[in-house]
Amino acid sequence: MNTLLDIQNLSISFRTYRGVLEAIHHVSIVVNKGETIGIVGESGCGKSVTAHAVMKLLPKETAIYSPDCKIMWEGTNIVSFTEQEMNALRGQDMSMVFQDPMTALNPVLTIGDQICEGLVLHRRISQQQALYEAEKLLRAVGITAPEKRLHQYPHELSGGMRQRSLIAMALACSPRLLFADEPTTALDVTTEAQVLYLLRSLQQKLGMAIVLISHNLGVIAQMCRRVYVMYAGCVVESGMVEDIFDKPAHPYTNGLLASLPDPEHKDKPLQGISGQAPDLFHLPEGCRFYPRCRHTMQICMKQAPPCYDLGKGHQAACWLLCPERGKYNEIT
Amino acid sequence: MDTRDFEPVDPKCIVPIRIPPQTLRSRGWRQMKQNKLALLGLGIVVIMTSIAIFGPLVTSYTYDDQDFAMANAYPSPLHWFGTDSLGRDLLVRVLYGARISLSIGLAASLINLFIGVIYGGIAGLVGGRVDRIMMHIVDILYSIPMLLYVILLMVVFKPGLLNIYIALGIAYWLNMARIVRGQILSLKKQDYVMAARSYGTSTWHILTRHMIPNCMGPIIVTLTLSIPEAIFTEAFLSFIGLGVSAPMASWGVLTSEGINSMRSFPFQLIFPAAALCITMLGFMFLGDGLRDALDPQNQREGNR
Amino acid sequence: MILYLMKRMAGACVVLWVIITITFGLMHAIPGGPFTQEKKLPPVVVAAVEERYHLNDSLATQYWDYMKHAAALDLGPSYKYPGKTVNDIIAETFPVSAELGLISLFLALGVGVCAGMAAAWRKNSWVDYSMMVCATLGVSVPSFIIAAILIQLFAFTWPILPAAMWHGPSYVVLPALALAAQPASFIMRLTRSSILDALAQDYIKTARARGVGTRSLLIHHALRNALLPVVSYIGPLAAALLTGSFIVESIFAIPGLGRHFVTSIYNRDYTMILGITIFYSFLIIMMNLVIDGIYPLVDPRITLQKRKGE
Repeated sequence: MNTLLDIQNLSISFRTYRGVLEAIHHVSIVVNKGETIGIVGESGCGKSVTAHAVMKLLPKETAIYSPDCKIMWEGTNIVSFTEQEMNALRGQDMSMVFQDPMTALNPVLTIGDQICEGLVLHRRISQQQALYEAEKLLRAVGITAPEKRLHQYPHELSGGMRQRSLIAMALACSPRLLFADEPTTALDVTTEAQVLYLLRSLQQKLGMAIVLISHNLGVIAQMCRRVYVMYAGCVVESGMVEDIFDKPAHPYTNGLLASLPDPEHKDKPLQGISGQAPDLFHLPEGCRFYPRCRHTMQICMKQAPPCYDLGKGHQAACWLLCPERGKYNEIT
Repeated sequence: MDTRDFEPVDPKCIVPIRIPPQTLRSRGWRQMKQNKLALLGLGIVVIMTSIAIFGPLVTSYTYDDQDFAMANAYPSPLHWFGTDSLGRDLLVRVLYGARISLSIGLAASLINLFIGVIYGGIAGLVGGRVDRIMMHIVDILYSIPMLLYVILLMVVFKPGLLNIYIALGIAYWLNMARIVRGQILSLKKQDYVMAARSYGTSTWHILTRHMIPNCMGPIIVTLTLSIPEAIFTEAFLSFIGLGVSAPMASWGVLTSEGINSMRSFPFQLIFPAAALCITMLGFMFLGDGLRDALDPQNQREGNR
Repeated sequence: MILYLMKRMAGACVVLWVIITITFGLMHAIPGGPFTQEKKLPPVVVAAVEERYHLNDSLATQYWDYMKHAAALDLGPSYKYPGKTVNDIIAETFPVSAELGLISLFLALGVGVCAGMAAAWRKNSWVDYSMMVCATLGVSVPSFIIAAILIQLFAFTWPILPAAMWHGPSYVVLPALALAAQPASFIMRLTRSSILDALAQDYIKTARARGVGTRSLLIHHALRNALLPVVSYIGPLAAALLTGSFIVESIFAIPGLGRHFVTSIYNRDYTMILGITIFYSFLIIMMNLVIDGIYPLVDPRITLQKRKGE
């Protein structure tokens, strides 16, 4: 079996003081062993929530998993796992690199302490051995003078170095799946390239799967084999990276690509997507994208579109792809 | 599904979804309404305040009517809370005590507010060296145990209502000054103030439209929490014999008198102590609730 | 480091000087001087007393004398206990207060931090709610009422502990409880909210993503961050215990400095009031110095030279 993680129909709601809010809706994502997939979308579209939901890092008091959802980890549904069972999985089999290296490290513990923690926990080795391993890890992620860094506190390191430490921490137990939640957003461009390169080379060495979450299409195109495009909590299009970039089927994906500057056609005006992402408390009826879409039809305002298969694993949820639409075109 | 469903819609006909705007205030009020304890606190405070204002008007005794025949009487229909060692009606004394204790809390807090806002406001607005010196003074004063100096002040001046107002008012403004100054300093750095300045808004306008509304939250919270502190301090002063002078009596005075006769006449302690504690609880609940609701730093969900 | 310490010492000296000046000024603001009483004393006696305490010297001379003595740690004679100096009385009574104060300090810290942790760990459970109810009651009931309730319960209703005086370990229990109740409640609320704050931070999520268990998360990751506000509360805590001791020592008739202070207020024993005020202020300033020294041990981001936000 080649599937590592199979998310089926995942919906997550949050209890807030304004009422219950559904952050992601019927998200289905498949991750195969050793592959890199990308999740792309505007901020607030539910990318991070999806990743956090799989690792069950969402606050227990407020986050509600829908009853019909399944998160299959190597054939086992982990939705009903207890905190202990999850702890055995987290760090060992799946781990995560967080967005902001400034806040993701505990300020009162040394880098070494924080890397060793996972090692001691999962590999059951002594602190001494763990420190030795941690030093190797820091060297592997390209930190100079690792023996010194081990005993330093986070505030004594630069942003890039902290992000590398975070990666070292996530990779400590050689997990089989790594969620990279906007790992480069807080870094400047040169560091970004280094970190991405690092991730890719480590992946090849360790054979792990990566779920890369980003709003940056360039990063996604460079790194991923398959891509999921999310909008307002739903996956609107998914497929191989070349299909998504060359033959986008959903108007939202189209809009995202059109908003990228094209250095070869400088005179072509940039096209953004008009309007703004909807407030999840005031979602439009029907397709969530119709208020911003260029091709809105009557049906879009009434009914949410189903997912249409375009072959080779390329899928999109848009009424434009509905076979019935051909009849209308014939009449008019 | 029929074919007409696929008729394109003119983009101009699509009505954008209107999202009702949410101000900090409406959001704060909504949070307050959900916080049962804060509402309870508000209720207690309102009731106690109206008791303090109207209570003494509707009673048939006055706070200094002595009736030695009825001294130390247990609670009865004639004297609901009983009487004290001089035969004064305890209910009436507790009602008057509410007036005195609450007025002390209010007056001391308002003096705090006045001094603190002006001092902290000047330090924060002027900034630079003035700010450094002013805050240095506050730091020095901060490391002095203020209660000792309130005691000294009360020893030096004659114990009395006005002196208590003054002593408490001038001793506890430091906190308010720090909060106002910190708030203004951080506001000055905020992008929206910069933005307002960059398109030429006048200083006065920035102050009244941007700074003051955004300072209000922490100021109100500090004010609410400083009222019980002042009442508390007054009770403490009463206990060591520096409270308001007889025959007037605050809750603190009544309570410490009650402690002396606790063994023989427990009701003389219970009623004023209960009034004092319930009011304190009310202010605490209200203050905590306000802090959760108004403090912009505290808007994270589910974290109370 | 040494430079820093010296700087802090100099700062403390400045504060002390301000304190002595304020107290001196306040004392001499009393209309008619400290020996004007309800009872008129014969003029000869007044003159003799004023001569004895140098009250006829110019204000500047008196101030200078007082400063000289204070610098030599001499707080002067007592007006009401002839033959005893303020220093004598402090030396006699302070050990008792210190014992009670230290026990209460550790009691308040221990109970407060543990209860706060328990409440934060079991957030929104009955443990949390009952602890929060206790803590809220604790901060809103004045310590003399708590003392009265304790005496009523444990000395009269169930006579298992002595109601007053100071003759051995069993005499410590009730006053220490009465003294520690309020600060403990405050520390509990503080600990609970700062642990919840710490638990909401990103680094807790990182730690959870590493598979760190709940217990270790709380003790290893959240507690140390959460202790910062508690450490900075130790200064005000010491001050609160001090003033609390005035009341508790009076109620329990404990021969400590706090009760003496209250007595000297009743007696209007001015040199005594001044001396004890200065002594207490000195104590609290020293306490703050020590706490500043502890700070960097808890938070590596803070070095002695630079406190956060300064």
